[in-house]
Amino acid sequence: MPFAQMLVRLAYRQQASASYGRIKGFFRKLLTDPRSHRRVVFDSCMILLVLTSVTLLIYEVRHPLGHWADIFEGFVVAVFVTEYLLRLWLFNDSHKILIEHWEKAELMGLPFRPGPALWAILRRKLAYVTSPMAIIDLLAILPSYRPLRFLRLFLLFRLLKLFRYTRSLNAFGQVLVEKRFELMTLSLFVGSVVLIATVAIYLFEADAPDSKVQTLMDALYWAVITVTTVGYGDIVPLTPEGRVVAMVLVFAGIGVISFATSIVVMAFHEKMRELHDNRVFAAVERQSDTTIVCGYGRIGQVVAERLAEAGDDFVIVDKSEAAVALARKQGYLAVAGDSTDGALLANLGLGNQAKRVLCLTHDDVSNVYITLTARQAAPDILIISRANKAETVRKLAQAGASHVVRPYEVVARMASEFIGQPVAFDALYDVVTRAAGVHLEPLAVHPGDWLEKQRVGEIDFTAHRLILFGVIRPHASPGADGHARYDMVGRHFYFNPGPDLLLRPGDILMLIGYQASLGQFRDLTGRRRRHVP
Amino acid sequence: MTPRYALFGCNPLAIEVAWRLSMVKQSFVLLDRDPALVALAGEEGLLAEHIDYTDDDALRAVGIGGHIEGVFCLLGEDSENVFLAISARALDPNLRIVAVCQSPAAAAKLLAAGADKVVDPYEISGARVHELIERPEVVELMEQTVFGLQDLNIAEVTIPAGSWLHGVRLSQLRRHMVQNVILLGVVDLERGKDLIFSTRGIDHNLDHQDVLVVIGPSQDVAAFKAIIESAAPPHSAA
Repeated sequence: MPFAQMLVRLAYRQQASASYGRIKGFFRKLLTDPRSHRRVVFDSCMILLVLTSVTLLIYEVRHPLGHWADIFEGFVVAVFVTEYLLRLWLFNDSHKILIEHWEKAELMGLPFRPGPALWAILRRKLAYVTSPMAIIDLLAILPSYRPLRFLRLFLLFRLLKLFRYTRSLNAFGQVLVEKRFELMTLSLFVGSVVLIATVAIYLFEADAPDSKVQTLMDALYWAVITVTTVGYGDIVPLTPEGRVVAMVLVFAGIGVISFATSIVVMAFHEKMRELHDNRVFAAVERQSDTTIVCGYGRIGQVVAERLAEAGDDFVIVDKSEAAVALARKQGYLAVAGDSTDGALLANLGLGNQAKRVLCLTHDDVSNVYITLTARQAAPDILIISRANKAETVRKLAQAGASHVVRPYEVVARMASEFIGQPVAFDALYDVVTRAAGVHLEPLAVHPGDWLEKQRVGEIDFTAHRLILFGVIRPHASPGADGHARYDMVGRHFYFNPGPDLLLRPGDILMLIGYQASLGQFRDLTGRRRRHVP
Repeated sequence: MTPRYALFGCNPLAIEVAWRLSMVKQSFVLLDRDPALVALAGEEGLLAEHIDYTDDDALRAVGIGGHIEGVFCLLGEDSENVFLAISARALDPNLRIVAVCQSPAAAAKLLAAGADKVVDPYEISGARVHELIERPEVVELMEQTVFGLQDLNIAEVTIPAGSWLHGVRLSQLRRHMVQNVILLGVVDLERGKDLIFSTRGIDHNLDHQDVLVVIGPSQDVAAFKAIIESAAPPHSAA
């Protein structure tokens, strides 16, 4: 059975071919991937093409256009046809079906028959061809066939093609599809009302003197115009019976209109959230290092405010719609949802571009769960969690939190410090919260830096309006004696070191000063680095 | 031992403050209106009493206006804390009152009610989370040294009457600062009650009652205090 063998071999070659996969991937990104940038560009080009071609075709109705218009039309059709074929190709992987059938045959020890496999492939392709969007695509190609004038009508399908390229229009279509049961009910109701009204008005009015209702078509036209509450008034009932029918029909019309409106409004309301969420996901996708803030309570608000101030990218997740509405009012990206849901976090870039997860909900149980979910999805990510109870700290650390913040502890520390030494407390509070403009900032010593191999005494911090709080040195660097030394994890902290401390690469200077002085000093060290070889 | 501090509210926050106070060996009493919470705090091994803080006599009985030096308003509602701060301030103008607020709007009200300091737990925690993102070294450093159990403390020293520093310039004092301390700032009463950070580079004219804020190991801080408090300038000029 050489034909079957050839088919199977071809299928396997396609399966194995890297370039085939690459090409298909490229077109998939271009045409179908809802998240890709290329698709946005492609869609915009297609929208432009559709609008231009439709404008030209409309203009052509009354004004003959020259040779160039024909060429352009030819180009448009070529693009449309190519697009149609590409979509048909992308719809599924035919070689997989073939391979599946072949493997099944192998497994069962039966001879492989290509017929059923090809039929299955054809069925899949037919499924695409008969899908509404594919039909629209096909119909959009037709208007360029000049000899059949009525095909001009299909011009409208080119406009329908726009649905494909704009997501919001697409959503409108989806709404209609989702509400098809309600809409069916409605149309059944409208249909029967119109039918009854048509027949009734015809029976009552058709033989009345001076009647405008001459045919059943007139009656139907009148019924539709009345039931939709349009009421042109070109056909009016003259007999009392006819007028009764009109009155009943008007009320039915009001019912129909309000029912239809409510269906569409409700559907859109339900859809709105999903649409908004999709927009947020797309926006997050474009960010490079996202911070996911889970929980938009008071702490979440403070953090979001500071992140926004610093110009960092972040996205907020909260269960409560009210909290999300509040965040959106501030202009932040926010999604309503359960942040313990791994799929939601993945949509927000966890495991991809997300760099940090902040678990700031009121509930310790949720925080532990989110921490665990995030840690499993992304082993290297920074996770900061909030613990309300002291016992939770250990559990969070076990779940994988990089840092744990316990609001009560922080407050208790502040409050008890204040009682003893209010002025010192204020100083500390200002430095820690950066309230008075005074910051405590780290400045790393890089290899080849101006600061490298300087002695602390050689740098005039006072002239720069800075205080050297101390130097953090990793354990790997050689230690220094004769300075007050404190232990940190993996590092030493030299508090207020003497003038003879030699700075080494990897050291971090902890400087206290106003923002402006710190910035100036930072610039200075950066500049000197470039000048000194 | 008569308690020096009164903690209102027997909630988790107050218990946390209580542990913190007992760590620095300060005597205190926990007070609440809700007997169940009082019992709970008692089970933790803390001195807790039931009190109706809306009653001034009850507050007096606890020692406010007497031996109590400071009050922590840690109740769950801003309105309760405001009421408590007003009552306590009326009983003792010199009392030191710290209050927590739930909403930022309440901070101003608590200050108006007589609180010396309002701590916004959410603001501080939020700031902490953001610091952890932006400057993890700073947080780690503060956690492990100043706030932690290692011997690096922040301290304030008030220049007493009769100190040699009265009328002396800050630059002169600096010449005598051989201890391993950092002078963070000065409250110069000539310039107001706010702390002026040393980084402003002002050569203050020191007077008694001015406050110096320093950071250092406790031994050095103690030595520094001794210099400040002595009547004559030290001989060993560095």
